[in-house]
Amino acid sequence: MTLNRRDGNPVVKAFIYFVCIVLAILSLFPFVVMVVNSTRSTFEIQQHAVSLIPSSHLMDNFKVFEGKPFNPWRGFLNSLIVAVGATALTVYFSTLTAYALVAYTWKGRDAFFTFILCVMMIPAQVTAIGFYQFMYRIHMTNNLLALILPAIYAPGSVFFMRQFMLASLPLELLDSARIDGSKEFNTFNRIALPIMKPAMATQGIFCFVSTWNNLFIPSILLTKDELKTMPIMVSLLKGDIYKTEYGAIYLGLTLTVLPLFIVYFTLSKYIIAGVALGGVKG
Amino acid sequence: MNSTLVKKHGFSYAKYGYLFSIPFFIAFLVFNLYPTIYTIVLGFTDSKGLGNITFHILKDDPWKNFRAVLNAPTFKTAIGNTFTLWIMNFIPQITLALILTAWFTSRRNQIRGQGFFKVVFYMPNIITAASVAILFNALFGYPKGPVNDLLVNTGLRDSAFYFMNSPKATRWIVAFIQFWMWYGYTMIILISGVLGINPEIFEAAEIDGATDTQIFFQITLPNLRTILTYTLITSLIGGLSMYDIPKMLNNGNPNNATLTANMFIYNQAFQGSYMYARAAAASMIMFVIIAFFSAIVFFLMRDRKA
Amino acid sequence: MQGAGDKEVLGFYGPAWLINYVMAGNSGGEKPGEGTYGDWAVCAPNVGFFWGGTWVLANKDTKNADAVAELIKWITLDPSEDGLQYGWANGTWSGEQGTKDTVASGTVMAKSNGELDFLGGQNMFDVFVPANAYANGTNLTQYDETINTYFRDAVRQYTAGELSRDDALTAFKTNVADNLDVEVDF
Repeated sequence: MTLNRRDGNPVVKAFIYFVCIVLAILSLFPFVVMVVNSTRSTFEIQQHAVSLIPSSHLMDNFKVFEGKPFNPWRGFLNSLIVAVGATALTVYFSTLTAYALVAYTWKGRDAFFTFILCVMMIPAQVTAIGFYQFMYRIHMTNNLLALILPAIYAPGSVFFMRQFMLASLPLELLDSARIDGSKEFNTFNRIALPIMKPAMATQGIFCFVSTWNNLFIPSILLTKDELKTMPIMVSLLKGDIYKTEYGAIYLGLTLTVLPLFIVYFTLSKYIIAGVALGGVKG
Repeated sequence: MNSTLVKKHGFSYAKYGYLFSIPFFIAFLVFNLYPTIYTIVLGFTDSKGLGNITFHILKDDPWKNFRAVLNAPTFKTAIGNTFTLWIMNFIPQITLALILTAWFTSRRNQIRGQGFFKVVFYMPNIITAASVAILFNALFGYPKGPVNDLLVNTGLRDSAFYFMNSPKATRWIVAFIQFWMWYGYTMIILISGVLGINPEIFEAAEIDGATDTQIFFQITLPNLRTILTYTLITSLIGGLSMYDIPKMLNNGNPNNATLTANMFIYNQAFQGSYMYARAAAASMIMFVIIAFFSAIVFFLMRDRKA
Repeated sequence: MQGAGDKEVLGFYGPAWLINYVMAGNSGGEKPGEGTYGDWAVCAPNVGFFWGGTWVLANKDTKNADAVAELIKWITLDPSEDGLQYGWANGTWSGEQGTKDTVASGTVMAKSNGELDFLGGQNMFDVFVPANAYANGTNLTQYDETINTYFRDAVRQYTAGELSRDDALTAFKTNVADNLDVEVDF
């Protein structure tokens, strides 16, 4: 029995490569269509819906945006404010809470963790109605803070951080910091946080993407045009029943996705590795 | 693992555990518990009307909203659809993810360019679900649309097919979009799980002469149980809250074939007559259903805690 | 009605703006003779229909009530040649050869030139002036758009053969009953 088994079976391998290439095309095709179509005019799109050759109407499609009551750059900025704010809060506070669960023993700690696991399963729709009425009462609808502050509460992220911390934070380090006279909060910020960087990067990416893409809650809270986020604007483009400007819709879609692409490609190796890190090890 | 420090020089550190958990807990109380209780209460009132925050508790007929919701055929359709669509998406998704995981972690057939494929397969996950749905709505347009053009030009069909008018087709498209967006993510999670399995087990199996298939079914899969359960729960919860995709694809049509529970709730509360009370009642009913299924899965998961 | 005329003609229903904003650009040409440009005509449908339009609203707390009133009057009630609607109907707001639009005022349309090359020189206002009678507000509610959407979806299913006529009507009524605060007779 030879140990040189890495060569494997060429037929099987060829089949695998074939399937993977098909899947890759399937994964990429809609993106290509989207980007190319944002350069074509609405009439061109109505004639031939898909084309791999870009056309010259990018600026015309852009002008449609200028005619709309909402400003896409404003929407972009709003999305950015909400996403960055929410991500920062989620990452910081979930790490802090995980730290509380890992670095200290206290009564009720395990109960608290079980409690977190349970509430992780409460879906957004249950809290949505009450949340909306609550925000309405305290006049916080049409306020981006209403979308950012709740991010402090992120049970899924706490779970993820705790798993990672259990595996990679040596408690001796905290002890020696104490001996050196470091206050607890300081220890957390100076010592624990840097170790958690990969997990923070991973959760940061997930949180950024899901906050950026969130349509449901922002659409029920934000009615003022100057506060609307990008996904809301894109959905409004489609609802334009007077004359559906397909070229502008595709452009809107591309603009919404563009920042995500930039984040993704700069950090793709973190994402792939990071998801693995969160890996539920037992 | 070293036990966590409890006391040093008589000074208890336990209080920091409480202290550091406070922001999370407060945020929970304010942004989660209070709205949840508010929703529960609303279910027993007559709250409705845009921007109306006054309401009266229904003293003489407290279950009125719940009855109205449970009797509404649309709600029953919505719940049925929510589960159906989830199953239609999840089974192909987990199957493909497992197959790809087996291929990419195979010790015998090393696939080159795995990094590239992983990046590409994960890409659909980062795009806004709403954008994808709008895009697919355009792709499946009738009578002219890319898919129809392709079908007619290659001779697979004589004439264009009105996808958005066929309940079956629209359902499959919704399921497909969900599948397309998540198969890469699921695959990466599963691969990470496999990487966490002790390689010595695999080596021992190889020495014993096990084939790739045998290894996969008898070693890899059993060791992935925890992760598979985690994937199952997160997919279930995500699937039961499905809103963006069916809403933007065809607004639940045709004939409510793709209407999900979350869409029903949204329609009750934020459109038409703005019936917050009925929406709250529907939310609570959904919560009970989700809690029930989560409890089942949670129970199964707890059994195997190592 | 089918078979009533001398020859077979292709036609379909659409709103007033379909002519200039959708059909003209997709007709395969830009002047008579190219594609089907110039081969089309418009006539009244067998059922009157009115939907949407352009609306003007004033903020109840405005500090410029008089100016706003003047503006609204100019937009809605001014049938003269300086009025907004006259320019709109004759396409003079967007420069020479601007797009002509159907407007709310029958008076304005009656004295405007609605001739379009796309319609082979037909004056579209000849059709739209009498059709304007349908645009009255006698049966409007805040649920109209939603009800209209439900009905349209049910009809689409019926014409596709997915639902029988009775089932389609029941589906429509169920949607209205379940989603709106409206009493429905089934």
